[in-house]
Amino acid sequence: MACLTYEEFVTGCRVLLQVSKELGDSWVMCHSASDSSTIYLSKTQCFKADLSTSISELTAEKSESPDEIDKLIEDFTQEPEPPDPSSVSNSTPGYIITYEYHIVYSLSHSVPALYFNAWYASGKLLTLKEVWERVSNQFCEQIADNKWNSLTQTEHPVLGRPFFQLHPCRTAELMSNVCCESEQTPKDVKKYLISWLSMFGPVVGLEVPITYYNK
Amino acid sequence: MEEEKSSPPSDLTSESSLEHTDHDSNKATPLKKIDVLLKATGDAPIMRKKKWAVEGDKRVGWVADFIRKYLKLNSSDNLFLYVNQSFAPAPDQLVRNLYQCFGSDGKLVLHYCRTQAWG
Repeated sequence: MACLTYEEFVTGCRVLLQVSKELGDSWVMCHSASDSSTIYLSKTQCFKADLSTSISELTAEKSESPDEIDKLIEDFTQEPEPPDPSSVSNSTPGYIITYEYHIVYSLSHSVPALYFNAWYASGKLLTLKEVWERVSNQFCEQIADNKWNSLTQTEHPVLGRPFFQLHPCRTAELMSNVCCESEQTPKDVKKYLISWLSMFGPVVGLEVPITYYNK
Repeated sequence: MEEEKSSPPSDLTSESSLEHTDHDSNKATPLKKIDVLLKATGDAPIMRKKKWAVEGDKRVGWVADFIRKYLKLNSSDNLFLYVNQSFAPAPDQLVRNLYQCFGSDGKLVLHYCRTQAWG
């Protein structure tokens, strides 16, 4: 199982912060008010409400269901129509949702955990149901299949306020499959957090650009 | 399942293999196909045919959908694709860009696993 000690987590956070600064991203390190040695990372991002549908347009399957996999490769032509700037959109006007993401160390599982809150421009927080509906298309069926065990609202371990959380119970198992080539190969602590974020972030709208990994 | 023979037209595949030996593929045209090697990790089923020639302008999401179809996965089954043993690319990322960043020996190696990620 690929777990992290708290010290390794802090190392990973510093690396991620460094890369974030170099790339002009907005991650910051925050400290607990009661215990300054307890840290977490925070990032705020705004979205237009129809962001998840743009991803679905790019990845949606439109070809006829193939009988042969080989035919699928030859015939699969999935090109979204180029946008016509003169067309009038008849969808509801877009609105802004603000997400605040926190990367926090989970003491009980010895792995990082992703917490977040989301609110409309009016300040009204999204409900759990609305958060489930906004899970990106790539993951929405996986989450929906098991949503009460995957993405729920819980108390932020540092701030003590309600935050949404992607459950970290299986993180160690996933990371051991991904990061460790074998039992004997030690995990790369510096890359662990960025790898983990690239798996968990996109579920809730947090994209990790490919440039993070090139650094 | 039927026996797979090398699938795409052989002239296109061999042409692309030859031209991908160097990484100077900024000159890659949109139609140039990229050799993608799909490797299973964990307890993911191993694909009988692992090496595919994929057009550079296809996206990671397309490759993921393809693997799902090939392995007959349900849409509620987890599937993670990642490169270099660690990084999960965004589904709208172009295969061509991934190859330029992570390709070696004229091919792009993509790992996939079916591990349950959360809960």
